[in-house]
Amino acid sequence: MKSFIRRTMKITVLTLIVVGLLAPFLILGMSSFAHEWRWPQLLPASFSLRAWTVVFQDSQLWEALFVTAVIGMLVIVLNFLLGLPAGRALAYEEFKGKSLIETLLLLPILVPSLAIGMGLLFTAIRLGMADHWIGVVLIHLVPTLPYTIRILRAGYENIGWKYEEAARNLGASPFTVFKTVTFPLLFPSIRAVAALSFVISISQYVLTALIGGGQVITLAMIYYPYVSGADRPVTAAFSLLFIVLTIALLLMFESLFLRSRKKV
Amino acid sequence: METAMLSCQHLQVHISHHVILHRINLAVQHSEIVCVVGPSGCGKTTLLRAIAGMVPVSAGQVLLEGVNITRTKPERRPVVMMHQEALLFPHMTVIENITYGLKLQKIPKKERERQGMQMLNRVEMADYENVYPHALSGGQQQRVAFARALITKPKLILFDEPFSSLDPLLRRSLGMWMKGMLKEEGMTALFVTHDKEEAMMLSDRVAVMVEGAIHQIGPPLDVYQRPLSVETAVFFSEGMLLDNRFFITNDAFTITADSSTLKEKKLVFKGHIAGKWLRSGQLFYHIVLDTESQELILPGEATFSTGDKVFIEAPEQAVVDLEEIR
Repeated sequence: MKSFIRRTMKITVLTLIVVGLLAPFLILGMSSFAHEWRWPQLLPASFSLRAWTVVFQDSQLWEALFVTAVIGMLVIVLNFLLGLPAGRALAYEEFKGKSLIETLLLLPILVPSLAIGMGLLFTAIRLGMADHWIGVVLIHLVPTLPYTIRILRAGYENIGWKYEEAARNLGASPFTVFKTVTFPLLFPSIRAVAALSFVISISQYVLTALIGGGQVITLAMIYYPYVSGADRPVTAAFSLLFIVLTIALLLMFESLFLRSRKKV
Repeated sequence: METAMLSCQHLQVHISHHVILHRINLAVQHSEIVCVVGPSGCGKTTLLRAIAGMVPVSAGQVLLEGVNITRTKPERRPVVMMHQEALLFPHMTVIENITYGLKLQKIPKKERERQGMQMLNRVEMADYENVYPHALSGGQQQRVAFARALITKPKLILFDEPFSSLDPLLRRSLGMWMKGMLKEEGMTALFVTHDKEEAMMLSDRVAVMVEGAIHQIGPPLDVYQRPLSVETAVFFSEGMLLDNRFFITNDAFTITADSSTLKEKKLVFKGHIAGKWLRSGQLFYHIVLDTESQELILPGEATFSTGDKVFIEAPEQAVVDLEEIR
């Protein structure tokens, strides 16, 4: 009897979690196809493809998708280039001013990004990177890199330096150690970093608008005006597009990793 | 004399202004097993890490078969180190772990697997080829780690207390088994341990290391019976230290119940039995001395009870003057 109650409770909780996770997507999906959906109707009264037509007929959409994806991937690459050594040093090395650096690295999350963006805009103008996608890529490091370093640091701390030492001992060069030992062991953190920095990058509006100066059109740049336009189906369709982009990236990442594992 | 396999000459290591190793001189001959024994924190592990290339050497040099490897990168040294933990790569199976070193040497896969299986058989782990390390017990993991080290045919294997995380019984048997394997392969090995019994059992020679300096090197029984310094006497040997200068090893002592049987030319100390136990069929007494505020553990033939007053005696010639030696 007791086990029956427990099982029922378990199933109920699980169902609630699944519904809670999926419901927003279902509603988004439905409203993107809804033609008429007024309160108190539980389901849309009629469906249409209008919202999706609007989205795909936007003259800048394909270019924006491309620009967003490229910027997002460059942001991931830069995050790894900077975050891997930084996370490793913070995890394994002891040096003076370590806690100061840790605090500094947290600051971009604590200080409003608009304030940082404004300051960096002047620097970007001076360096000639304003209104250019390179500037946008660099400015996207501000809201992403602090998380990246924290995640990778925790990842490195989890593994510990001893496996790297064992591998070097057996004859592996530092690069081979990274390829055969560190990377596979660090993969959960690496996947998290890739997903997080991509999602943060593609949803930047303020920073992209500021540094890009309206010249660099990303998905967020054409998405936000629709949100304020109060056209619900179109907003929903755009939201789904964002999700699809992220999932596509994650799938790509996963398949790359699986392929590299098979070679081992 | 032929060149030693390993030779450390005036080896010094500093870690952020602290001297960890003081001018270490140590030679290990071909196929010899040397055990560096010392209390924890004496720099034993640092010595191994310096030989493996993991810590920068500040002065002196490390020679391997006469070749100076002091500045050689760790991956280019034909030296493998084994640690307290087995450190098997958790994302690789047992066979992948064992053949890791061969893969780095660009040996083709077929050949790698053949050698790997052969090695697995030798370490009696053949059934575990495709098992991941987390499913193995501590002793099995150490055996796989040993195989992983041995398969790369290093000139020297360094052991950093490889058995200390295992239970005492397994520790002894695995230790003797590993010694047998090393001898069979004619491998040169440098062990590090704080357990002097383990050191005596495993090694051809022991080196007693205290506070970053090696105090004495020699066959284990010699070092035990003839310590040359207070440090060696206190750490490695067992016995009575008088005035921080004279030393009598335990094997010179006998326990008697009354002083009337005492003969001349013998040193006699008064004490009482604080406890007794049997080990390997031998009675041992824990004796607290009345005068020297020292405690001794001695084997005894006669039967005493806890609390008994006893005398312990040793021939005068058994007394070693440590200062005179120095």
